[in-house]
Amino acid sequence: MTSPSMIPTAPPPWGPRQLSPRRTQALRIGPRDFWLRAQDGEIWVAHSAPPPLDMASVDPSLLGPLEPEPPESVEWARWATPGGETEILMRPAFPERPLVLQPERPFRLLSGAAARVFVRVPLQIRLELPLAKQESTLLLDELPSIAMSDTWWGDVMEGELGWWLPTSARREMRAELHHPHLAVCPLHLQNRSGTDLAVDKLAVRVVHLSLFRHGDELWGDESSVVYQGSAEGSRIEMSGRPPPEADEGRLVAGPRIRSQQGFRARTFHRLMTLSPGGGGL
Amino acid sequence: MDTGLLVWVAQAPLDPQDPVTSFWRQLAGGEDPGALLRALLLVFIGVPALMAISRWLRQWVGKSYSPQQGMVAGKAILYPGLLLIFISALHQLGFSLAPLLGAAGIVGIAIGFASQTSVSNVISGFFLIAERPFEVEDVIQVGDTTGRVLSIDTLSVKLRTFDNRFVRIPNETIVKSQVTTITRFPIRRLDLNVGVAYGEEVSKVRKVLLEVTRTNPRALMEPEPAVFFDNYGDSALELRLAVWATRENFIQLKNSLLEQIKARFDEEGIEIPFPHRSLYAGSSTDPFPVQIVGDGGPVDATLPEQEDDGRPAEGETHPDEPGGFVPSEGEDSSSGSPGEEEERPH
Repeated sequence: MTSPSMIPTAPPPWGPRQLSPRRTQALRIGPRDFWLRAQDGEIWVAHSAPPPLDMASVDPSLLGPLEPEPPESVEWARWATPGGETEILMRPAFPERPLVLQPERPFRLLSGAAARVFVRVPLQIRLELPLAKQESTLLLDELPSIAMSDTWWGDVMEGELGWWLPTSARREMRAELHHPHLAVCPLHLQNRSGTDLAVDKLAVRVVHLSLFRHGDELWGDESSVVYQGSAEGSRIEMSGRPPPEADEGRLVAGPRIRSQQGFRARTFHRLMTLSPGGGGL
Repeated sequence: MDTGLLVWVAQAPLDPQDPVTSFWRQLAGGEDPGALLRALLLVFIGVPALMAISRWLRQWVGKSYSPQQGMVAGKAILYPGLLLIFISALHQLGFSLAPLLGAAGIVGIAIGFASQTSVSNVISGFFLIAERPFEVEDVIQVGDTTGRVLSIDTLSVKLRTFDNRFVRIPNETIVKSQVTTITRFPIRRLDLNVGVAYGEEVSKVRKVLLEVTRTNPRALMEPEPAVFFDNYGDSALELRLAVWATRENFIQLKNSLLEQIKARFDEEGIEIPFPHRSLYAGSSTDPFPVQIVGDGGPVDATLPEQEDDGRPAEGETHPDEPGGFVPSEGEDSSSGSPGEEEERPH
């Protein structure tokens, strides 16, 4: 159950949907299609499978028409509601695992240098039921907007499970790169170690990020990653405020895990000891 | 039961100096009639309470830390607690502990000799808990048995196999055997042996295999999947696909990847060969002649076309002798080798 204080202000197609009895409502969020229906005191939801698309090629014209009814191969999921509710809320959220990605082109961060990169993060789609008699919602389901592969961040004996992001970190952001199912997260990278830092892979810990709406765009708060050459990892701090590009952005969702003081974690690939096949026969 | 003995015991006069009589009198409370009640209360309240505390501690520590530590914490409370209750109950009944402990030492030595295996299991159990080669909930393999560890007890380790059998392995056996802890590390590498026909281009096969792993969401992108060219096999080029998965997804990855590889190879026209065996008769270059006998049907279409000179071709069946064999030139029919085998890579 979530608190209503998290105001669902995400731009369409996100937001609340009033469902008519026995009539299917179809909508598309990014590359995924949803069909919603209220029937006999139940909420019915069907959805297409998450496409394994390269996000750069997500173009509505490539996806085909949105069908008014789900194909026969798609099964309905049904929830009996406590008070006969007929409204459903579609809310965006950051994924629950860190994302691992490559920069557009690998680069080296010289000692003392800083760089700002933008990462487009595919959002999770949360289906929530606003309860009629209480000012709260019930989570029905949470689905990824695109299919991402598992990846491992660490070595073969210790590490953490993440999502492999089929996109790259960019040095600049353009308006046409915004999509409803993607949030843009600026990262401020600093190298305070005495040696160069090769930036060929990055882990972005999105569970600590907040989500903001700026017009029709979704942004994550700016995070600062400071590399000090320590084997323990980099110092990471989240600003908790919208980035300058979306300075009037309004909060849509808070972080999954709050970190008041920042934390230390492995962020750069340099600390890893993995090789293809795991380094052995 | 011998009722005569009971009658004798009931009728026998009680001698206060007799040690057996003294023991039973002491057990019944001696001079203090309330002692027996106190001892019984201690046992009947103390033991259930102790077990409840032990269970609660096991669950709490198990949730907060690990099931293994929970089990150890529970036992660390239970066994000393039981001993304490036993000693306290005896103390309530007026028994002196010093001679009891002395007798316990002597009895302990006697029991130790009589039950060396059990003692060995107990000591092995301590080693297992201290060394921690595996913990409760781990999946281990001991010999031919693979299963999830349910408990590490005083005498044995209990496993649940994946076909839902309960297996008890003595601690001593575990200490003496090679034990593989399958779930020790968070990720595992799956090695799939893939054989392709000799005619296939290895670089293309490698590319297809890596593409297949990329489309499987359970295959980890890091550590990167790799394809190794292992060997020139009897019938196939032998390659090995090494791909990583979390230990939870290992079996699902194996199933889905094998299915995907077959489907993708079919799409790409990549042949997965099976062992071929060619039979040669007569000349090593001509195929074996085959003819349907009895209905005068045509000779098998696989026979090479030959000029009709009125005599049967080499290795061809004689028209007058259905099923007969005409030897090749320079080859004695008796020394010919129909049915000679030669294995060739295909």
